[in-house]
Amino acid sequence: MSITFDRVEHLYGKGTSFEKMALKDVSFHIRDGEFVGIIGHTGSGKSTLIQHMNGLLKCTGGNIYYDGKDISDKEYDRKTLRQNVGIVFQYPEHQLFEATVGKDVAFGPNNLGIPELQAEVRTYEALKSVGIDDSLLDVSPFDLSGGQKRRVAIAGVLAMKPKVLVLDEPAAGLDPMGRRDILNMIAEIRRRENITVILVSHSMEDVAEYVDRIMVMNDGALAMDGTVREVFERKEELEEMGLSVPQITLLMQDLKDEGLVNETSIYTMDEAVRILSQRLLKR
Amino acid sequence: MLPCIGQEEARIERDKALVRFENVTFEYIRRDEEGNVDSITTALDDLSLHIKKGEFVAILGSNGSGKSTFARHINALLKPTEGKVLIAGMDTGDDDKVLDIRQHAGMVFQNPDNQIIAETIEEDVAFGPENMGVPTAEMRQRVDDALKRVGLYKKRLASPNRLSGGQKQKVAIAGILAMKPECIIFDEPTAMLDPSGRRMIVETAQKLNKKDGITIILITHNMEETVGADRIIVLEKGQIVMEGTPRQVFSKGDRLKELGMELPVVTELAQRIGLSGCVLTREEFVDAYKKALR
Repeated sequence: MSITFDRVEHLYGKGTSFEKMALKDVSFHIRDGEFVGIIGHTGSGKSTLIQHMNGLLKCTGGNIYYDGKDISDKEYDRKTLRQNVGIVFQYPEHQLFEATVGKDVAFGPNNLGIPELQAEVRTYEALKSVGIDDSLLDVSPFDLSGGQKRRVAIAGVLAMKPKVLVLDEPAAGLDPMGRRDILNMIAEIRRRENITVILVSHSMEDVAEYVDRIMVMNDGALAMDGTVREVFERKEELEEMGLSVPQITLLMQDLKDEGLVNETSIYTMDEAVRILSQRLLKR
Repeated sequence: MLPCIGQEEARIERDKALVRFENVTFEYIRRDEEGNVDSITTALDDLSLHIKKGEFVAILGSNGSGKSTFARHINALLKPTEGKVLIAGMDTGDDDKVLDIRQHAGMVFQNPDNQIIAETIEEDVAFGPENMGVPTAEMRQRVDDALKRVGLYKKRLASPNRLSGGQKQKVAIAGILAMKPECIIFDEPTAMLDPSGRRMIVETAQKLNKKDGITIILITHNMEETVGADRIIVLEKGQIVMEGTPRQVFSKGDRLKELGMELPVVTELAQRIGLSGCVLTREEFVDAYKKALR
């Protein structure tokens, strides 16, 4: 599904002394199947933005379209919208509640009124794609480890078969291996299901490595929107916004300042390994 | 009982191990509806360690390795099933000492929003000392001093709710500083913060350690944050599996990865392109690369 935001605005607490413009004139278009990262300091409007994506919040100005259809239209089917756009919130494992892993994952499909057998198939499939073994189906989700709980929570969203998957810091609080596993899993799901994925992250390394396009939120406005290179080239501006560039990029800049390399537009470990080893071989 | 030793010697003894774990085992016991034991999880397993006054210790370990259980023993939020925890010589098992221990060892948690309670920043910071019964005049001074040390003095009358995540964590730190602690435990304080917030908190922790001599125990999943520590301890299944200076620990990359950890970015890169020695910082990387090119 393609997503279009056209001059979207959101005003919190209208008419009160706490009135705050949380989204200002936000416009963008995300094509079907894109992998987009959203970065921004705390309070920059990232969470408000993603809550507009499945209609949890209604914009107070502007329009939002999915596949060209305005979601604020009276005829627009909001139930289908919530089914099509799955949002995995921060620490989604806090929302687990059922007695068993299987029931928790099947909760969404059951609520949609999907026949039981089909819901069961979806549950199996969703758990498989997050790498949770069938043997855990009847286990209480609260007996699982932190990383496993998070996978089960994500499976609950996947069981709705969303066409757009939005994840708010899916790796927060996980240990390094758990972090990598979960991000690889998301990239793999996107490849296999060919869905649009939007990843909110505070890790510049993670967005550099995984996404194709970065949107930068700052004080409720979309401050930058471009490829990884286009965004991370604007280091000074990012730093002013409380953000940063990947550590690898900072290191390459240091090496360039010393006249040791020529390239600075390097954002991932693999690129840096390639360039620095080549230079060592040529010595 | 120790033989009779003088006060000065007692103090030296105490400082050598401000935090002392002696064969600590902690079990989470789950019971079913009838109260029968359902399962027992051993979160700390015969763990012994000493942390000196003024030390900066980073604790690493995968999810479920026992890091947070360990942290909660330091300020008596949890008490050992077996063994002893002594903080500045006080036994956490001694109920009369609990308040005293919490004043010595304060804790900063992961979620800044869960730690803010008052309407203004200064009231929030005053909450701890107020509960300790600190006289008003001294309290004013303690609060002001704490806020100055974290750089929030000018904002003292503002509402904490409008602050950034990093600033909220600083308010939590100031609240602990106002209790005049000897030790601050940070339990993944940067997990929910943006890059500038992360930097803010790590720099604050380092400053409190270097300038004020406060013992810092930092639990984190971010390897970069541990590079400046005096010592790194890696936990796994409630036991210490690696221990040493950052250079000692990070030179054993394979072992760390087995434990679900990784190396700091520059260390990893240096190893992958075959630079010799264990590189920990960007400066060290530049020097090592220069040498390799020669």
